[in-house]
Amino acid sequence: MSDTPTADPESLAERMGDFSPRLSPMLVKELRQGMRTNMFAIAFILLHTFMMLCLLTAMIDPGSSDSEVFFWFVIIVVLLFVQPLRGFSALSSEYQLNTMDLIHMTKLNGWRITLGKWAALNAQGLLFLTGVLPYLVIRYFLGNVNFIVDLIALLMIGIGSALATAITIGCSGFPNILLRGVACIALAILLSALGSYVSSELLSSSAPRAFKWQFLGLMALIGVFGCYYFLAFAASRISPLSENHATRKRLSALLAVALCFALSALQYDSEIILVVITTILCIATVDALTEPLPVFTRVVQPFSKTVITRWLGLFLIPGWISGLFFFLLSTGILATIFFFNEKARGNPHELKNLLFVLSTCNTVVFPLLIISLFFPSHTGSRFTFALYMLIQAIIGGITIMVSFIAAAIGRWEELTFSLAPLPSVLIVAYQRSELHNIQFLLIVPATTLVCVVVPLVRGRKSFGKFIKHMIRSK
Amino acid sequence: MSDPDNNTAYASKEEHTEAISPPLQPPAIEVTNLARWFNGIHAVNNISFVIPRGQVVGFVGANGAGKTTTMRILATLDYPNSGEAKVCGINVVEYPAEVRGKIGWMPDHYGTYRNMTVIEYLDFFARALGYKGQERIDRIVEVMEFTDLTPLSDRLIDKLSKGMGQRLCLGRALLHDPEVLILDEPAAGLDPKARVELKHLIRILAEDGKTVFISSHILSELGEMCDSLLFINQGKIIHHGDADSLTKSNSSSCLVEVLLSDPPEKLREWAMLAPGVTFVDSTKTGGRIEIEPAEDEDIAKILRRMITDGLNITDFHQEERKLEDAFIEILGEIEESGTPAAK
Repeated sequence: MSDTPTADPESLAERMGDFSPRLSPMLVKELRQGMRTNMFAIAFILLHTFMMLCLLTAMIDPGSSDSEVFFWFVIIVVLLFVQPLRGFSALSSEYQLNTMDLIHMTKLNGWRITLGKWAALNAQGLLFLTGVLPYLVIRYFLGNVNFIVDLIALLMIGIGSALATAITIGCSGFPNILLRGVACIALAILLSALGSYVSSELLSSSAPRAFKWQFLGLMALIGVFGCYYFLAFAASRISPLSENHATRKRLSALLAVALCFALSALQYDSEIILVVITTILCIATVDALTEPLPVFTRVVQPFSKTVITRWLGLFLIPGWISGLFFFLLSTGILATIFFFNEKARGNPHELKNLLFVLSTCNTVVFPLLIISLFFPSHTGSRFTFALYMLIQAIIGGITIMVSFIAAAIGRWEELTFSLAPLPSVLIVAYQRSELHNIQFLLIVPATTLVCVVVPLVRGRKSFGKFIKHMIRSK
Repeated sequence: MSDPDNNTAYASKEEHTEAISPPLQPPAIEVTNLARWFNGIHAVNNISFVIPRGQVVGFVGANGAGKTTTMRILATLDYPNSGEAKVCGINVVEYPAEVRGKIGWMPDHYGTYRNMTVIEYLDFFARALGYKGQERIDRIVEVMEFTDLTPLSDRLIDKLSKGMGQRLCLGRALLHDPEVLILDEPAAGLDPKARVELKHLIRILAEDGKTVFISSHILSELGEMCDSLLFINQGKIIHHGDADSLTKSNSSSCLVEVLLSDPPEKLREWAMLAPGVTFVDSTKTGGRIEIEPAEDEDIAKILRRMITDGLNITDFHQEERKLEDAFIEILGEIEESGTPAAK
């Protein structure tokens, strides 16, 4: 700190020239603040201390696997847990400090805010990564280390860290800490499960070598889509309603689906592709169904130009109403891909499997039906997402209870049939090979119809406005 | 429920627009039938008013009256359920980005960052407002000099006093040289010295031609600063006019404070016998009396009589009606008749 600060332009320019003016303002701010935090300093010092310990252990006992395990454990903890956790309150802290409104008054929109925060955390993560590199090289000279494999592993951890940070920042837009925590954990579990499923299928010892490149390709796709989507999700939740983030989010999900579909043409395992597509569409649909209203004329205007744009607007305009149509589109896409996939395989259980896919889609939309029936004032409010998560958790709890009871009393068929309108019960039934009753063919589409029609009828005022917006000429 | 306030608001709208605004320039702020409700409760209930360019307008009301909600809508941070709000002729809902370029917003709780110095704070907002290179430096230098923050440039923000913090917040709001300033309770929690400084800065900004829309609980301060005042109660505008008209009483009597070197009881005894004089209350060294009629001649006559009757008067002055009294009087009128008196 200088003793007598002056405000002459030269001394100011000198003091503010630590970062290039081309860098995002949010990135500069976060780096200035972030690198002064105790957490960054402690994590950095601890990482190097443990790395040196690992090296010492490896020098004393070169053949020991303990130092290898410890080495990777420390890197994983720092890059996949500590670093992403710093993003957990990235946006909510702006609300707590009453600074979010001030940032909104500038030229930074929601996307630039979240991207800047994510980039700053990843830049600090990159510092950690580059800090680890010398130790990696020294380990190589000590022997028993495949440098290229380690480098690829480090790269994968880096991508994982970027995705995990995007998830925590994506959820940090919610001021409620419990909701943030639940959403983060749910997404982390979902994506970890997806990652391990894809890895186990593609990297199994019996898998051909080409699959390893397919694995990398698919993981890169999931990583890029995940990072973009969760940041856009946060941006949409913190932005004024007059900003349209929904269209890009939904289009990005559809693009990711199209890329997955293209990958399936490169002899990928179609089941893996279907699982990835389902996950992508589920995340995008949950987001679309919980988007707040109202929709402003400015947002709708670009969609009211031609007949084609109006049709596109039906699925892409922000808000839960178009979210319902997006849900129908997603269901249609999934059902079509699934149907043709099964046909190509000549699977005799195709109908049963199709019912499973539709039940999965119904599980996603079902909480909206409950919200519109019992909490109509919260349909399309800022709290819809929290309510949705709560209802989904309750339904999940009920489903687990039912499956336990059914397993205990051995009356699966009756229980499943009586609870068939609860779509998640049908998913469990499918996994227990109980989804063979022909009446489900009626129940599943009927549930879909009810889940779509009832919220539209209950929210007819908003739906009417939406239609009016769409019909209104440019 | 009918809204009796609209007539008042519309009347003032035409009057102000014709008197001050150039014919083609839209007013600084124009609010028409604005309403905002939360869970069925009207925070802002169908209000309309116009603020011409270059004026300092005070926004007065109790806690929860709807001041902050109205200001947040004008600052594009909230949206109305019905009605329209425009800043410099631009709709705040439809074109928020354009409106943000025209306004400087200062909330009631100024935001501070940990681990950040004053200069870094201003630099962040200057970058975020799109300033680059030398222009960014110049803007920061200008606002630091204006708000007298230069000696504090390297101090961490969380080590600043409330007054310094408010100056920093004002500096941030001025970075892009906005045409309209919306200040929500800027003087809340400030010590007297910081208040005087802030008042001084606002006066300079007004002289510079900026429109200032400012809310406060301290009516006397607003009276000194503002060209006109907007009173809001339970989400409705109950008065829009200049401070002078409010401080001038409409009644035929006037209030006079008399200080004596005698005991205060002597004034009470005298007032009870004097025609046209009513004793109001006593103070440590005298009391207040009401004189009717309130013509200058009558007041002079009363003073002469007091002296001849042997009262040792040390001070005798007519009291102006306080803005607080005017505000309470308007509220009382509304409670009685359901409509505010025309001012």
